[in-house]
Amino acid sequence: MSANLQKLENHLATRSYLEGYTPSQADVHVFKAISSAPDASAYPHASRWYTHIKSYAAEHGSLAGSSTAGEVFTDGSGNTPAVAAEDDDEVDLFGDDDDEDAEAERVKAERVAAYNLKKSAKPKTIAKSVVTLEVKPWDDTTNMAGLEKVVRSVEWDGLVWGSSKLVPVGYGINKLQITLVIEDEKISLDELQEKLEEFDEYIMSTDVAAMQKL
Amino acid sequence: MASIGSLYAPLGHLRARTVNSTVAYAGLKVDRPVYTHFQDNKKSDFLGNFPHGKIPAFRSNSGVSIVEGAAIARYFAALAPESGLLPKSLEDQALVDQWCHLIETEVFDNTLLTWFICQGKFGPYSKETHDIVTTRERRAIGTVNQHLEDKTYLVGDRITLADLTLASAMNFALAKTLDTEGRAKYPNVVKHFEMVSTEPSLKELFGKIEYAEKAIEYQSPN
Ligand SMILES: N[C@@H](CCC(=O)N[C@@H](CS)C(=O)NCC(=O)O)C(=O)O
Repeated sequence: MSANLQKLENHLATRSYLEGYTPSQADVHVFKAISSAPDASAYPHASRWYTHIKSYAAEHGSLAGSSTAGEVFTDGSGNTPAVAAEDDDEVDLFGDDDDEDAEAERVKAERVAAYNLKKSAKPKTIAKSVVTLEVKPWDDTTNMAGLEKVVRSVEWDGLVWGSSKLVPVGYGINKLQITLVIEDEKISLDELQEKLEEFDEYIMSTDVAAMQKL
Repeated sequence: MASIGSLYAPLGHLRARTVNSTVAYAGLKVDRPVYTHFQDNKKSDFLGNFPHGKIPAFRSNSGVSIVEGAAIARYFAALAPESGLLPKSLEDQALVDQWCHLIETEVFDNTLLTWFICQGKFGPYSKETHDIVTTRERRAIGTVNQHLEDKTYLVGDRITLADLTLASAMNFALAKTLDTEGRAKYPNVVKHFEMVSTEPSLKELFGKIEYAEKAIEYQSPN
């Protein structure tokens, strides 16, 4: 569960609490959906609120009210990529998700990849999937920029690379997490993984971490 | 709880809002002798206890007379330590005093001055003087608004006397000098006011707030 920080920020610009004028379970609900204090420069009001609600930590269980008013700030459906929109202009590339939230990052990356694919003016009826691929290097001496370069060097018809980031896996080693959109007809993921693993001076293994039909 | 003494502070009087909200929030019991403002304060009984002849005024059961709303409110807050209105540490108390003083002298007094100026009570009307006073009032409100950018209450994370003082001053400013545009400029102060004035023990005292659509202006008599 994550929270829609921008929505929270807008709400709290003119209000001290989520509901009414006192701390309640609505505040606790959203507070618990946020893993750490929102960035004060990006979300000053949400940050102010977070610090304040934190000061009630010992009373979180006993505060009055219900969580209902808080639920509109925590997403149930918000995590599905907003690519269903018919009009390109409606695609919210940089939606309201928490930048620090890995899940939100992933969703954003997917949206960008999906959007890029859409922009490339392929007919809309073609079945596509958005994929999160994890690419592991051999060890901490692997040049990750070089690794990313060889990954992106694969230019196949029906494949669009999206954004990527490095994710620590321990012992100073990072894996590359990269989003891509494929046309299901044209691209076989097995083939793609085989192809990538040929770059064995960089790549030890690849895994499909997530896949979703568009 | 026994009454702590006699308080002369009419409930609807804006000068008395801070002290009355302190009584309400701290849950203190006071006697409120029948008192008609601008009459009783000129009588010898009153002047005997309070030579300055002004309200708010308080006479304790032990016969100590205290005037100046801020001093009475602070004393009341200290009588109810569990209310938290006066924080425990001396540093936090100093910060509470700091805000109370700034708000009273730089916000409230300038709102009041504006009101007097617009009523022609300060001699012939001068737009220039009016503007200077408005600038001073807004500078102080701006400072408080900025302080509240990352804070819910003025000092620490719970209501203190400073918050009661601010809400009381803003009660006046929101009704007289802070028009729609002014409120948009100081959103943190407005939301602070809404939070404090609706606090269960204060709600009745603050009542329904009419925000000024337009700031008060001088009406020339002809
Ligand atoms: N500095 C005092 C001011 C008190 C004050 O000016 N009280 C006015 C309220 S209208 C008053 O009692 N005036 C009566 C008079 O001037 O006769 C305070 O903050 O308590």
